[in-house]
Amino acid sequence: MAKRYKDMNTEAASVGVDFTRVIQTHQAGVWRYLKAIGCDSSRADDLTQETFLAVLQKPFQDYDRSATAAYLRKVARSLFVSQQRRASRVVVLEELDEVDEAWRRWADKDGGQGLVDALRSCLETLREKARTALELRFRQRCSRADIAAAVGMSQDGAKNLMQRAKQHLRQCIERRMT
Amino acid sequence: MRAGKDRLVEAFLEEVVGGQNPPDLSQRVLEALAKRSGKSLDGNGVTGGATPNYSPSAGSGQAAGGDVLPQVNAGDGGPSGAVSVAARKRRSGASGVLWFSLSAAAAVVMSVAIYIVMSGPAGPVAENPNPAGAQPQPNPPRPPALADNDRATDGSSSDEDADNLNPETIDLDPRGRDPLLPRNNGPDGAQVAEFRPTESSSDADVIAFINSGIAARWRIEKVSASPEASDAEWCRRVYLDLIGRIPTLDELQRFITARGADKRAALVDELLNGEAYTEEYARNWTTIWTNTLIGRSGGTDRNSLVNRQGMQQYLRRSFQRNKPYDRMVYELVSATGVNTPGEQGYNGAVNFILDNLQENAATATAKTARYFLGMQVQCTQCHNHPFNDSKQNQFWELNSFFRQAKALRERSGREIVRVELIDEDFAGESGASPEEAEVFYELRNGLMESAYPVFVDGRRIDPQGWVSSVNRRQRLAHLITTSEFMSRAMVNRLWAHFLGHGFTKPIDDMGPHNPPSHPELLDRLAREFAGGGYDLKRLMRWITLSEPYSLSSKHGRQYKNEEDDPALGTTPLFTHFYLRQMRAEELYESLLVATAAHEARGSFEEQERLKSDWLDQFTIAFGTDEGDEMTTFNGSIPQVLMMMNGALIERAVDANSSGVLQEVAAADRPNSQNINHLYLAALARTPSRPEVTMANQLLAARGGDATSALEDIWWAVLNSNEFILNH
Repeated sequence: MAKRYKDMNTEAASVGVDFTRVIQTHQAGVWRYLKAIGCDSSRADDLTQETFLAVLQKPFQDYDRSATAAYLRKVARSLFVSQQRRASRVVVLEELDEVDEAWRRWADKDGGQGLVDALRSCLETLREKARTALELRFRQRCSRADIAAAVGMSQDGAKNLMQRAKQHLRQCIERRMT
Repeated sequence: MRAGKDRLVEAFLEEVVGGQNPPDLSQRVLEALAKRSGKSLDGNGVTGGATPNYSPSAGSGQAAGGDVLPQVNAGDGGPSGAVSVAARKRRSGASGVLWFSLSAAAAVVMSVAIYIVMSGPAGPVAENPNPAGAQPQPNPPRPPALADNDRATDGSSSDEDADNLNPETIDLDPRGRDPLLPRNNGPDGAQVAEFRPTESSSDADVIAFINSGIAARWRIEKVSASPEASDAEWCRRVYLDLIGRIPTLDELQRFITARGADKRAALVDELLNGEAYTEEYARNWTTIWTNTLIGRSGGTDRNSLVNRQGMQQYLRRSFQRNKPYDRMVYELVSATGVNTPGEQGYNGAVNFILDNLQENAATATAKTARYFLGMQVQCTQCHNHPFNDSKQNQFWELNSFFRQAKALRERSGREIVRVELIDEDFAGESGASPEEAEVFYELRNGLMESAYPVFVDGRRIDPQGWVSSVNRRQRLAHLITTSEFMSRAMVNRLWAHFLGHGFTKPIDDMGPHNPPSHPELLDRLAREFAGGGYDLKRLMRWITLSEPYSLSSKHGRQYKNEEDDPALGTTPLFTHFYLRQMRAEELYESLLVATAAHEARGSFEEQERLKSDWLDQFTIAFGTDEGDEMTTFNGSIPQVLMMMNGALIERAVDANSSGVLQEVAAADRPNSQNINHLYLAALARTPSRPEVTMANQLLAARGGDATSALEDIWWAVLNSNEFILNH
């Protein structure tokens, strides 16, 4: 074991690392994680890139998928927090901790691909009206008023409908992921 | 947790429903990587020793840690596709240093750079003239080198062992050899000796050593000691320091009129061991340690994980039984169980750790080091200490010991009603495997490093996270209780409690950077304390019967010790007793004595509730991550108003209520004697001539109404500065 650790810490730690493979293996997970902690898509793109740059410019060994994924997420989180702080925005670390915990339970193994699949199938179990509301919200980017008009409800009703739908999805995913 | 899942659902809905899929950034990243490094990868983005333009094996340290440090701190953190001017400047580090060396501002820049190097491997690269020296370790994180025989010598514990270690159920002697502990390897595998002194001198020898050690320093500094305090003064201070209140008039007079050369020793023994004072002794030290461990506001919030009653009950029982200090520390650090008295599995000791589990137990790490080791490591959570040898990795190595700890909450509605502290298998922050359970921490340049459990003296344990094999908190408790730091820290803390100043300032920041004022004395007391079985009462006895504790608080030119004034920043020489204000709790208890309310008390919980209500008016919690709080009990307006008009004072100065005043007023004595009694009761002295004159004037002004005059005098005495001072 001692030899193994010694080998791990050699100066030429990055030699032979296939950067392309590392990036392709983990980029989706990092990107999704950044979205989950509060980035929009373009910022998630930028920070994903920054994360890999920060890591790959140092001597690096890709020992196993899980350790590397966790490490990349930590770096991504640090970058996100640093950027928020520089922009004088409040960062609630407890909220990030909760996302981390949820990520460990649901998305740690495969960078969130299993969660995507579970969510897809759970969406099928939603009622038509709820699914329509979510599609208007997430695909069409409609306002709540537009969603309410489209599904024939009050704005509060539409809000409740979407909240219940998301709650249903969470519970459905929990069942499928455990 | 639920909120975290909701955020995940929300984010993934944007992908699944909104069609915002993760992009393929590999080409973009590889191009940016090549651009930043100024070198190229092979066509497949693979590094290799044969690749001429990118050879980490030959220059990875320099390339990665030097001129192309990660851009986490670069510029404003914008996208790296376009490299900023600042980043380009950073890449030309060598020429930058040359340019700076030629500029008129070179000295300033170098000072900044030196500070950065001292404070950590991170920081803006352009300002670091020695990138190699500031190079972080390779990533991803790996455990420190571990000798094969570490595992071989590591005993394993069963669940039964773990259960048996419940401090409430067995008489565990933490000073005994811990079968669970692997070989105590320090850095480079060297054996680090445990601190197990065996010397145990007689009390008289230790007290004589204290006296000679303190006096030797007086001779060196050419100062003299103040005269000995009067019996009344000494009696008042020893009551305040040992049981947290002033003596009653009876107790004071009994001591003053007692005969015998050893009457002071007899009083100390009575207060420490006498049945009549067991409860008060335990109450006083419970208060002091509760305030230390969880603060005055700990456990008062509805959603707090701490049960204040549980913490107090544990401490009270410990002090009642005079539990050895090392065992107390062992229990506090390694406790598991339920925090609430009366619940199944209750163990009040858990409340210390429960109060500090937030932020990955960073607070538990800092407070454990501070209270039990006398080390302030909290700032090394984020960077190396700028003024001493503490490194950031040491903080997280210490923190690793707490990462198996988990709080299980039970709610009733929105209120937390019960919390259980357990240890569970820890798979490391990567979640990869409990075989090598690592903790990640962030360097100042934004990169992450890893840490595994290593004690502050270099002793390390097996890094695996299986509780059944390695219970990290139990190991930490063992390491603390077998280190000399614990003994020294406690001696210093208690010395400061009784003498007003410790051997170091602050008392919980010890180390080579902060040498003690009396090193030999501190060493000897620490060894004697440990060798004598960490007996707190014995340590208190040594200090209270020593010469420096017996000196008058008067000092000045006439005593040739006017320069010994630590309040002005000088090193304490203990040539006189240093004045200090009573703690809020001491004042409260002393006012109870003045109203005789201490004689008719309810249950401990009821007393504590009343005291807590009274103290609330002075306590301010800052809500910082270090749990800082303060009291306005420092001569502030609220304090003055309370002393002038508070309910306790009103009761004390009402001659119709029970209390000192009623006793004095009802006695058939001349007024002059009554005034003497009031002064003795409050200040442990008789009134001076001007004070007697004033009292007579007051009596005359009241038209001969002696009771009203006594009420006025009593009010004035209780509101004097002298009353609230321990002198």
